[in-house]
Amino acid sequence: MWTLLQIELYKIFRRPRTYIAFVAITVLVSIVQLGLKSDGKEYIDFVLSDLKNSLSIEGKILNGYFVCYALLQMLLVNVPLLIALIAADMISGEANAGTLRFLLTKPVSRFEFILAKFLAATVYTLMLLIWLAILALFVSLLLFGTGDMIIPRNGYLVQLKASDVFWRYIGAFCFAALAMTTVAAVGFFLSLFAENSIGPIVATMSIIIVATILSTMSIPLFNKIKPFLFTTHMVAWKEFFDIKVDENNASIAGTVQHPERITRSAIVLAIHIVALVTASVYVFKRKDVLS
Amino acid sequence: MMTQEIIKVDGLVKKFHNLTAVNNLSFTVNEGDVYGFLGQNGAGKSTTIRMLLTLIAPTLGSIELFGMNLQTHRNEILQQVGAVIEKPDVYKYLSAYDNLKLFARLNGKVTHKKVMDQLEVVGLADRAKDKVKTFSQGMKQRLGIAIALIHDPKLIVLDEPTNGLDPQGIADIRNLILHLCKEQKKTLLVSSHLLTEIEHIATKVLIIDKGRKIIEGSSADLFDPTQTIVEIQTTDNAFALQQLQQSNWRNSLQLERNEAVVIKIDKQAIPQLHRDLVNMNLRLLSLQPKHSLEDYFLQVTSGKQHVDAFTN
Repeated sequence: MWTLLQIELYKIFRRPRTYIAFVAITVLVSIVQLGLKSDGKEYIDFVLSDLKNSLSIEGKILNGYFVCYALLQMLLVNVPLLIALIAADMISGEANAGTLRFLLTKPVSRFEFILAKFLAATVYTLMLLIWLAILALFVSLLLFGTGDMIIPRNGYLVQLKASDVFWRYIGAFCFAALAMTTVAAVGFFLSLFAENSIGPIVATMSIIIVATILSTMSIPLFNKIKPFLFTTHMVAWKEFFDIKVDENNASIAGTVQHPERITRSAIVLAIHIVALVTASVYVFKRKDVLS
Repeated sequence: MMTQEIIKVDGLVKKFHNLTAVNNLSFTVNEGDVYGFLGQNGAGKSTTIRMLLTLIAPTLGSIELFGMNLQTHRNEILQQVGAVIEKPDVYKYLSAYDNLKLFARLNGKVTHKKVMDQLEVVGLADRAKDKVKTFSQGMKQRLGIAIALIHDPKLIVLDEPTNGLDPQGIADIRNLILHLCKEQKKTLLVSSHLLTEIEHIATKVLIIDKGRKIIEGSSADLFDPTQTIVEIQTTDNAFALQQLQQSNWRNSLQLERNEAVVIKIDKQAIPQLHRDLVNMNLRLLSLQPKHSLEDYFLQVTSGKQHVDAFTN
């Protein structure tokens, strides 16, 4: 199994296409950082415009933690599309290239083979998020410095002490890893049914776009299915940046306002992953390789 | 000494919805055979080979390799098999060396020396570090064969190994097959739609058409110029077959096709066969000797579409 995983990772990271996503993230993050560095004050004014009349905010709001939050809000919607590029190509790409039949004539069980492929797609997803974390968090901290974090949430402001932020980012990135692995599982499952990569990649992207729209639209009919859509739960990483307050409305450091939301979303996403991988194993074990 | 049965296929059937790609196919490949698997494109060769390699699940029938059931001993069996199916597709963005090492690792540990030695055998050592996307079809085919051979398998399965190759490439593959059989004592199953290609290398030949066995025998017998294939048509072919099975001709019988009974005999025995058929009270419509196996192959495999290929 370990050998299979090594081989799969070797193939992924030797392929030029793999680095498109890393380059895309680098370019996007750099553009946003450059924009905020040169004209960040206006962006802050825009973000806090609703609350400006009722609150007087002093201090360095545009710091590395704030920039990272802004970046994650923008990018975690687009990263699934980059993950689909690789995950939805895992089986269909091999079928299209004709290498699938060569691989499956080797003494490797189909169960191990498919599991190794999914784990490799997961490792790729994690690498992409680690790269995003390095650029969005650490580079932003270098460029903009640290400070207390102030973010607007549904009509109110959340203020987090600088010393109370870093662990929240660790939690948020771990949650994002789970969410992105769900996306990888969707793409991976679809890649079983095609002999070219385009179909599963486009199908994965379409599913994400449609499910995201359904998750965000407030229509009674859609509200019934929202709890079951993985896209509804993918945004629960934001819960790490909401904090409990005491009776005097003072923040309680080290707390999360709704930890149960994070747990519930994590469970729903984990169920999606297990179900999709189990279905992938089931389908692949019975699949006639005709490519 | 008993010859080991390397492949034993019994009553193999594969259906894709309404299409029966392989229909009740049975054959045996013995140790040391170069088994020629002949049939026109779409005859069911690749489907059969894919079933032998567990790429496709049979609808019915059993497959044993090395005396073990393929379903229950898959990995143990595939450890002893090397195969190239149709085109030898590998990772184009990797070098020949990297491809060979990658595939070899799926069979177990492999050393740098072993990889280079194998590339040397197929004449690619000087291109080891070049990316496969720069290779010709012949070079890719040789690399595919290197991948099939690197773990020193007992059985080698080559599906249409000369497809798309130039004459020199075809000769190289032919020599390699003979070398593997004679010098390294390997057992080979080689499929082709070209009779001329198989007759030079195969020790046994099986011809299939529309998924069914048409004729099987040793090359020595099938290509023997003193022997001929005779097609017998009667008003009741099933009855004719039954009668012949109970006669002295039973060992010469090949099989009953839809329109005829096929028998392989010495040319000199044709008059005797004719007399016996009349004595069996069969209502004979025709008794047609074929000049050669090629002649027969062309006819039984409905070779209309591929006549050009056979007349090369």
